[in-house]
Amino acid sequence: MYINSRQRDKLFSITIICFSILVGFVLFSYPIESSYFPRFITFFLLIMGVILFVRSSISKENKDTYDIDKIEQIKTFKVGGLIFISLILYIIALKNIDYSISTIVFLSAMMYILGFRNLILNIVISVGFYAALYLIFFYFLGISTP
Amino acid sequence: MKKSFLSVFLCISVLGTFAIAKDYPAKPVSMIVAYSPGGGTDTAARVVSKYVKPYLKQRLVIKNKPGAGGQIGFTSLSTANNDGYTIGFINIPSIFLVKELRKNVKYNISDFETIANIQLDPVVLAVKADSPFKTFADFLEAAKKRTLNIGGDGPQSNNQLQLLIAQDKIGFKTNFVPYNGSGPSITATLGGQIDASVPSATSASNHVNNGRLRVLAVFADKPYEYLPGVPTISQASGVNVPSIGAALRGIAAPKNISATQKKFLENAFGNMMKDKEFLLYAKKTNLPLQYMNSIEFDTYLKKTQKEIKRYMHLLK
Amino acid sequence: MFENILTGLYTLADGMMLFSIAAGVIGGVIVGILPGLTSTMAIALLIPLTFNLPPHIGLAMLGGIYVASTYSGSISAILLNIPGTPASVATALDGNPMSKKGESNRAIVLSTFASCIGGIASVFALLLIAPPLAEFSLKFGSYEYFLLALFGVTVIASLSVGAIEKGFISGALGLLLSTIGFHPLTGFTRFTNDIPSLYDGIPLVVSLIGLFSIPEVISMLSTNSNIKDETQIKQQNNFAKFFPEILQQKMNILRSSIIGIIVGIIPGVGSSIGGFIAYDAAKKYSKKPEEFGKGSPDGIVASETANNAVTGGTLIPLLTLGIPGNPVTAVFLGGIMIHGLKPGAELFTVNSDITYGFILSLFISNLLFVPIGFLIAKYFIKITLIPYSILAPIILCLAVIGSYSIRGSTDDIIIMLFVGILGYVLNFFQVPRAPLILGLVLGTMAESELARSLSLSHGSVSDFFIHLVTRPISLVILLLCAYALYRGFTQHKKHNKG
Repeated sequence: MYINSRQRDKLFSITIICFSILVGFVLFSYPIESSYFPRFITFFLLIMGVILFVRSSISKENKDTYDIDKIEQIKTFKVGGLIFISLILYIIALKNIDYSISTIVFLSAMMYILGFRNLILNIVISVGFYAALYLIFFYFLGISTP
Repeated sequence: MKKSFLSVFLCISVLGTFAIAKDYPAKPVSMIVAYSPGGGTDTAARVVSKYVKPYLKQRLVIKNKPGAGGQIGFTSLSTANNDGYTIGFINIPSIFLVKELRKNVKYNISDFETIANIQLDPVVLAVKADSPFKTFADFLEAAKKRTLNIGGDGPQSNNQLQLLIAQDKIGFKTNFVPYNGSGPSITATLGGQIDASVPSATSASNHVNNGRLRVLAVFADKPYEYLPGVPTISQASGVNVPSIGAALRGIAAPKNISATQKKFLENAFGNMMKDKEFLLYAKKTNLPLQYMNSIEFDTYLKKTQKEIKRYMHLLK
Repeated sequence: MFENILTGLYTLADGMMLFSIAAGVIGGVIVGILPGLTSTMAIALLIPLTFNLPPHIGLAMLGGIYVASTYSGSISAILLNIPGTPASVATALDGNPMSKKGESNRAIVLSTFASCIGGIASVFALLLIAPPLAEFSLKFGSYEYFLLALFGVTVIASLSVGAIEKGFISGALGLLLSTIGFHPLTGFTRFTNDIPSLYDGIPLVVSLIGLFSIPEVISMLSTNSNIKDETQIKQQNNFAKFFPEILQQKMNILRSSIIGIIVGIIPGVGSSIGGFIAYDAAKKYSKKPEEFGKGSPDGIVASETANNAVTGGTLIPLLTLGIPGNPVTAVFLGGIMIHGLKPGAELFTVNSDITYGFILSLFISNLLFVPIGFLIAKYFIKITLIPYSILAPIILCLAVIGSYSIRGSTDDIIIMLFVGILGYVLNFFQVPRAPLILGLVLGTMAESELARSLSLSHGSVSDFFIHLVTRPISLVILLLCAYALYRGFTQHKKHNKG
């Protein structure tokens, strides 16, 4: 499943068109004096989406202008999924368990998953980095821990 | 192994409760400030934290919980643990305005226990130094002829409320233009972008000293100590205008804090307000102090709450 | 004047003073490099520390942080494509492509010296012509601000590589995102779903982190070019070699410094806009505009000169009138007042020793971040050699704690995550992200000043337009907007043909 740049432009313009229509509906439920500015922007967005759609449909050149290869694109999806899921887990953990523990666990687990398998160094880096964070943010700047 | 671990744990927890019961405070007390670091409220809080230390016998740690005009910070104070180690700096009337004007505000005024009031910062009516309005009477005369543009912190701020109450009582109309804080509204006044503004007294006083701004009236019951010679609005207009728009900054705790802890905190802040060094510092930096003890502060709170409800329709 | 400078020098010649400047600069460089730490926050949180110091020493330290952090945001922008501060977003546009070509050192040298020169130029303005400039800054009212925001929007075309529609879409998305929360005049809440954390809109730094850190981590992990050429970096580990290049940029530096200073003295505009406008101007006057966005030295120099020139500019209305122009100087004002000093004439007469000492200390700060920046950059450059499996989790952790610490709220981490998803989507569709940041910065200004201008015109649209063309400064900006559009169109046409 590879999407070339022309298809990508098309897909993006359709997303923008749908998005601006959706936002438009929300905006029209607000009083005009508090929403004329975003209404105008959304209208502009819609127009730009349509122009991009037309341009990407009529453009004859089918060559891919961007240097992303097929494997890389699939990898982007995988990595993106991994990052967002792990971040969500991390956020849940730091809200419910404890910031320090979840940070150290997140760091070492992510390093392990991403292919850094030297366990001792892994733990040393995680704890060391956490210590540096602690020093700068919580100790020196006096921010309260989450 | 397990057993010894358990006994150590028990020991620590027993010692912990013992310490709390015996000599409060046994660890630093944190104070929630509902505005971002560096702002007026935050700076005042940090000054208080410095000068209350000898009386609190512990550090007072500032925890900034800014956002939504104080709503986030006030809400987090209302739900904070009432073990005496979390108190907050509350702003009146913002705390009422947020509650009255918005939906889904999770705190009630009864969720807070008052400790002491520290500051009272009234709203003032200010014009540019070379403005044709020399007195409030000049201003009033012009306001009756044409619609003047009046800037101020807003929308729906204590400054706007104060202006609206004055208009309602004295009987004139203006066009209120909200600015992003008292500072920007003063800047616009200095630049002649607006006819006058209604900033807080603290933010205006420095510009008055620099000779760039003139204050026509103070919306307070008595003259403002750092603006000598400026009449109160009631003196200037001859009409009694309630000064509930004045911003108070005081200390409060989550409700049901133990009576001994409350007494201790009240004494600590009460003593700080009599501290010579603190008073000297306040004078040097033009901090408008206004001490109220727990009961006085509570009475003021209840009185203002009632009055604000009466004038709320003006803001809506 | 001269005796004042002499008293300033006397204040400056103090071991403690120099030590605090150095501490401020080192701290500032670190604060600037880390994407979640802003100078506003660092200064605000350090004010209580400076409380117990004599005022000139405390101020010099805060000044060092301010100046150095504005510069060092470019280091992470260049090496990682993650701008450390909003001010270095424009620097990333060319700095990172240059770094990817293996010329990291060249980019860092250019940005360092450009920052230094821009900063020093602005301190000269502060020292010599502050009073008239401060009077000028008061002439800006809502009409001018609104037009200035419009002028800022015309810059979007310059920030877009590839299809121009995508740049406009990105900018419009930024403008739309900026409308989340309270309407600045009516107080009506929009798109908030009654979540208080959204009432004030999305904090700029939180969106900066989400928009750049997260997508960069994903793209660094999904490119196959994980093999790095250490020799290439080592070979040119010679910073001095690139110094002569900066001398070829005289006109660019002069123009960008002036733009930066002017943007700086106008309250409420800010260093990122200074960088963007200078970048745009450099592109319009460049002989090789097609190189912009692909590693043009002109782009780096323009953006960095201007954003540091903003720093001295913002201090002009602050010290002479007591008017803070941006969040940092607002905090600065607190830092000045906490010592019982009163900005305005008194600062230059009664307390001239402190004031001139502070102004002169800014020269030192601006000079000092050059060696300190090089030293830190020398080690920081090695970051590009760290395996991505270690670097990526660390960047993610910094993104999380950085967005948390802005307001001390875990909700902001969740907001950052959503913006991160948006950034990832934009990156996937090859949509430039810099216009979005510009839109976010300008959106609040455009909306609130438009609404305020209309309110000042008592709601009459015709009065509003009459004011736009009859106020002198507003007319000038209006003409500038028209010129920018004209230049943009002709250049775009030429570019498409050629």
